[in-house]
Amino acid sequence: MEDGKQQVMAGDEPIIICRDMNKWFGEFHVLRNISIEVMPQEVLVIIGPSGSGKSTFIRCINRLEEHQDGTIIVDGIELSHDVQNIADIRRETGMVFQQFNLFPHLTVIDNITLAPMKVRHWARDKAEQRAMELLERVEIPEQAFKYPGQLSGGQQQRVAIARALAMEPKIMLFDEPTSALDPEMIKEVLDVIEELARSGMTMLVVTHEMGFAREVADRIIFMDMGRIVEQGPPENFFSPDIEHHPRTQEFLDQIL
Amino acid sequence: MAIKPAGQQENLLPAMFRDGRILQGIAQIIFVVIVVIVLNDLQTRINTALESTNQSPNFEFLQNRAGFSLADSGSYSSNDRYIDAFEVGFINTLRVVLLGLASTTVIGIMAGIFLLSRNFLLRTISRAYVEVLRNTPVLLQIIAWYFIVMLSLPQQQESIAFPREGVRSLPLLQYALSLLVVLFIWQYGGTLRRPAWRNGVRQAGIAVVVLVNLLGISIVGAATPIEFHPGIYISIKGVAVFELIPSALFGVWMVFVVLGAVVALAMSRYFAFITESTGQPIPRTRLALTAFISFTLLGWIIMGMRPTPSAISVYDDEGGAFIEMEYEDAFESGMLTIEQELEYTRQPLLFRPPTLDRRGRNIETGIEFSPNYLAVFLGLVIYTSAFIAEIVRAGIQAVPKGQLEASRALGLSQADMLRLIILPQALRVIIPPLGNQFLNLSKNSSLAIAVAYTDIYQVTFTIINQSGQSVTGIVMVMLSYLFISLCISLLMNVINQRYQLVTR
Repeated sequence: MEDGKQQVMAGDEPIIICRDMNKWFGEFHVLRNISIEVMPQEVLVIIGPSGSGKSTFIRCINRLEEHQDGTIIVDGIELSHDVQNIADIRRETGMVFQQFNLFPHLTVIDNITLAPMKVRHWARDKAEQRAMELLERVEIPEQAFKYPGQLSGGQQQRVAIARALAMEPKIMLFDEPTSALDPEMIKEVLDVIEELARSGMTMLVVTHEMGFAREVADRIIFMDMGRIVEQGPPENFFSPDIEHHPRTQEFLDQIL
Repeated sequence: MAIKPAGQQENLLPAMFRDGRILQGIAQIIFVVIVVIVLNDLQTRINTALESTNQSPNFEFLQNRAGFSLADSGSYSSNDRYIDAFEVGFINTLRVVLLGLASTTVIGIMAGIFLLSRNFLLRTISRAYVEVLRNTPVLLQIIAWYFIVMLSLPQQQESIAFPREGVRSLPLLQYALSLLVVLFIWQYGGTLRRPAWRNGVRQAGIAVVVLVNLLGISIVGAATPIEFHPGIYISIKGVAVFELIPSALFGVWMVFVVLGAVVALAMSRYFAFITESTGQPIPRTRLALTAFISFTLLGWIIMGMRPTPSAISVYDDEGGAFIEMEYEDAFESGMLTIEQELEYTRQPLLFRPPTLDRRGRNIETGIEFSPNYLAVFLGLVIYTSAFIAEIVRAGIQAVPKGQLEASRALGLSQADMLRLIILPQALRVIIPPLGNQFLNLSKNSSLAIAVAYTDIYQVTFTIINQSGQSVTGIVMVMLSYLFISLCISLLMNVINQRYQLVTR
């Protein structure tokens, strides 16, 4: 398949570059020769069956997992064992997890202001003001002084998104953000992510929500057995008229 | 279907006695009556039995002369009353429990963190420590400490002394300069942006300075002869430690210490406020600590500038009369009485090394820890620390991995992650079982009887044997342990409440 060259939007330098990236868990080869470039403001949706390495892939981008071979360059900084580089990259990438991972011992607003104050050295006033703006944006300002345990799953995930955004990242990584939610809460979270995508944020989203993928993605990547099997714009990807890789076709037949 | 009005059924019992709430109330009353009758009967029987053997419980006998002597008893003698002996026991138990709780917590937390270390050797050693100690009975361990360790220490005449007595030359100037160089390298290293360079420069620089000093390479040759007096003696009689006695200057010096504490607190608050309002990071704890230490040292130095009297009257042993002497001479010859030294010294705290009395058997000055005390103390501390190590390990591991990932993804530093995310959540898991271990330690202290340490249980046992007042004695011991345990529980509950999570 062709690389998604038509996705070039604002800026002409890719913000994420992966070249021949490989990763093993012990003997198990989870990621095989992943090569991909992501342009600024591009929304990349990664789909594929369980165990295909999609989560591991995006977790490599902010070094929650270590790749063993190949190159990853994020915002011009190469990921290596250099801890300063890792810190710099993490400052520029926000991440939202399947299990929310809010800090249960801190209030919602403290969850959001913690990193800006400790990592970006903002004044408390500025951090809190920004946190309230973000809570307005995810539409739960009234929950600011509650603890995560007092919120519903959908509300918790929206706080998690606000927390990641508070660091003003250039890239957002979403690792199955709706998989742990009750069906009626999925929409409220997807709405927030969709709004974010429209605002021009560079995003990598691992998800099983095909409708959502079709709606917001600039490019869809299909992964299987640690490989990128196929990629392309959603209108092509979901189109029955286009001939797909047999593995992709099999996956699409299962879910559509 | 017609609704049955309450109490309208055909029944032999009036409606009142079919009301569940009233039935429960009646059951309660019956139960209370039975309990009261049984307890009353029990008490009457016990009283009659005790009266028939002339042992009816009372507290008056406590005023009688005890007539037995006790080890580890301070100023207590056999002429004192039973109640004084009991007090000795209570204080001895408290000595083991309070010092024991503090020590076991420190050792346990360290061992627990080592259990999770990435260093293979450290991890394996602490795992062996924990497994051996928590799987053998504590009684055995206390007895082993006493008979194997304490009783194989040298005789008092050949005590192990720290530091060794004598005059040695130290290149003090060089050490002082080395310290300055180390501080400079540390500060310089801190300005480097890359942590790898920062740590590299710091470690290499310090290694060079330490190596130069260890190899005895003298760059600045000012060697100062210093007289060393042992501060700690270890022998079969236990451990004797030096005393620091507050002198006449202590009060004035404390003004500096308190002032230092106030300034440090104010600085810490102020810098916290600056960090909050501007975001600028300031190492406020380090700065506050520096201020506190500076004030304390400054006070000590200023106290040292006080003039001493030119002449002083001292008792001359050889002449058998008081003579006038130069203060410095009297000090050098050791003819000053302790009261005079405390009055005229230039130090706020007077260092007094442990010394023996004229017969060379008992300690006269200094703080003494008997081998019996040490056996109980070490046995309990080491045993309990193994359990605390496991509690700490489990507590840290109980923090979900997602919390660490979220902290990392946000870019928090390792130190911030540990302090702000892991620790508060680990403590929530650690504190309740930690409180149980504290209670265990305090109650296990009654095993002191195995090595004849005069704790509350042993003393009361002697009192009971001698007076026959078993009921009173046992009640008093029980109340004492209950008091200690309730204090610990209260403390742990207060701490526990601070770390509870708010959920819906």
